Amino acid sequence: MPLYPSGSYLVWVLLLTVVLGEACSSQSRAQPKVSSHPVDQELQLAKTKSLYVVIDTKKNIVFLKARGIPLRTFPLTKAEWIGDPLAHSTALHLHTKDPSVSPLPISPPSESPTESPEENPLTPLTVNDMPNRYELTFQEHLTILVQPPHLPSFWANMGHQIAGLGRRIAARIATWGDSHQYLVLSLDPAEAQALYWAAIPPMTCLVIPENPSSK
Amino acid sequence: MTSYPYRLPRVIFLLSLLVVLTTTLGASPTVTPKRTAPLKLVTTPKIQGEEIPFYPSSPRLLAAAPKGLYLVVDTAQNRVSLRKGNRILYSAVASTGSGARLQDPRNPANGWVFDTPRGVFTISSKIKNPAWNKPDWAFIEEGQPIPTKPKDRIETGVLGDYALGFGNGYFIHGTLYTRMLGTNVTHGCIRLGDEPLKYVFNHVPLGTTLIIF
Repeated sequence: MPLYPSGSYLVWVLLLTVVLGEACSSQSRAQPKVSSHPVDQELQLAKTKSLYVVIDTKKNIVFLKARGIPLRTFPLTKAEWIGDPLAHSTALHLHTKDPSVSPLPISPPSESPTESPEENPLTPLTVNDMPNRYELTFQEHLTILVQPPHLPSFWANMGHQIAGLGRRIAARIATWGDSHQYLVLSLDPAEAQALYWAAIPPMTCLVIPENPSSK
Repeated sequence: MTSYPYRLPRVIFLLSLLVVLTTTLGASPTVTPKRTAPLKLVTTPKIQGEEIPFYPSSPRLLAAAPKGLYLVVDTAQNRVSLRKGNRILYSAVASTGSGARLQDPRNPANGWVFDTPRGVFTISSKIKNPAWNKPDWAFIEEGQPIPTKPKDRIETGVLGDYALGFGNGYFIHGTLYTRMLGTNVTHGCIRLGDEPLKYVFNHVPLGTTLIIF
């Protein structure tokens, strides 16, 4: 009899421990830990056999990578969001490039069997044929506007600035009441051409905003 | 005082002229490919022994990187480099895909685009004195009839002394047209000069990772 009350407490404590422990473990099973840390996200991309792009607006740099290795870097002059920036680093899938560059057609020789390929070289598409001002549209409602920061000629630069302003205004209007987001990247013209060359749909692109919110 | 109403139209006219001139002179993007680009050897800032900048410092990302030697092909600059970790051990000029399109005269809806594939591959075969089993497009491009007998497709001596296969009929091989090295002129394969090809063949084992970008 004297032991009954304390024994009762002991049973209740054990019961509560089991119930609470089970509740905590079921909670942890129901909510797997999802990380939005850029390294975690990049690790997923690095495990694939595909090239991918990392746009780091915090460090103002774009990387072309594979297996975690930087293959080429594209320093940004400026990265600017139109509307609200992404809340956290996000992996996006490239859908289209605008304008597109069509492959050049080959015309088979009609009556010149003696002509060797060296005498009649193929005129290829090179990186210099790529545009330096273009749009990369992603499946997840993001468009990246790539443009050179300035052009050498005064008048060309003036036109470029006006055209850029027009595109920003159009993008700003497009984002009103819409979830579509725009990111403007200013790159040196040669770097912009190289980025166009490197970006092939459906390439994955990891965008790291300047101030990612912790998740 | 009285000149203000007369100046206003002139100012408006001049401003309109400025806007029209600036938009027409500067707003056209460089889209149209130029067909008359001169052939030139492209140099690269990456040289032998140079360290690759921004190599991943995170141990977790390093775990995803290739172990040991790996080959990297830059299709924009037409360079092949042999790397280990964050160092470039060897670099050579190459030729990669032209990006050109050949229409199939038998079915105009079909054709071939001569791009070098991009991504991560593995060296899956190594061949000495390779012979070329010419596909249909090679005969169509030359304006010749497609042979019916398989033996008529075999051509020797055009791929150099060595070939390293990386799948789907794509190879790293030699070339007779060394003057074209450094340019995008191939049908998708990667061409090297004789010496670099020998070096790569002798140093790269089967299973080596090949990254093409």
